[in-house]
Amino acid sequence: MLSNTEKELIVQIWDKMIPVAEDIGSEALLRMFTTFPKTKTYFSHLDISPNSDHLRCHGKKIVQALADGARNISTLATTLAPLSRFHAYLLRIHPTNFKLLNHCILVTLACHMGDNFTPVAHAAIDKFLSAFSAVLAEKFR
Amino acid sequence: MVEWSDSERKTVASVWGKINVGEIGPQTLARVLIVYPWTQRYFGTFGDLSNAAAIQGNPKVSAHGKTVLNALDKAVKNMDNIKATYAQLSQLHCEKLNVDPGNFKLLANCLTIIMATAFGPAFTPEVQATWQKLLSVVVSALTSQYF
Repeated sequence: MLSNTEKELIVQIWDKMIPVAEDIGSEALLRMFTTFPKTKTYFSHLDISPNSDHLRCHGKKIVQALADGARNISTLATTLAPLSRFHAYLLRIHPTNFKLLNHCILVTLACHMGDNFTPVAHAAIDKFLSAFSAVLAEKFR
Repeated sequence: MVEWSDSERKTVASVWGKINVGEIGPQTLARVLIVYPWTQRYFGTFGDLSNAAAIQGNPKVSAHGKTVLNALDKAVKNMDNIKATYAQLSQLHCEKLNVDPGNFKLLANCLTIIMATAFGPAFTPEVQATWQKLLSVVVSALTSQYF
């Protein structure tokens, strides 16, 4: 459950991430691949070495989708419907992996925002990422 | 048996050396209680936990945060024997404190995130991975005596 204050905070934070979407997205992915190597199994078709074009491009897509979701929190299911189908029928990622990427996104935000990544901001973003992942995993079965 | 490379051992020692337990301990416990409010169930005697500000200003939370983080010193000093090192604490958490071990990971994650806020870019993906490996061994050791 997100309060109105939390929803505003989430939009504020993600809006700041849009200009640096490639940096934030690629860093979150790299952190995930380094800490949880099994996640690399989904990317055998891409070059995911640090700073590669594929990594930056893919990272950017993820951050942009999150920013889009942030601006449409009350209609997440509709906004994310195409991504939801994509994850369910094409990507078929084991659902436990969403939490791993979410955690690495939080770590990346923490590194970049420092003390501005307050407990309240952390809680709001964590809740948002959980809601976002739940929609992405909705059609899995 | 957990294998640690020389580089991982150095990373753990170096990171731990930079952590101010007096600051990071309280911040970590406060963050767990704020981000995962169900964990407050274990702290009924701690007084006011009604909102983020109350939690962050609560002296019992601070004191206990230091206790918890000080206990991590055992892992850093006994990296090759973490399971045995935490056997008693594991029993305590299971039999006396009745803590759901699912919550250990939440504390580990919050600590990782606080370290990221403190170290910034110095908390590289490699440092994060090594640190999380240590924490996952600790979490596993704390869960090991549960039945």
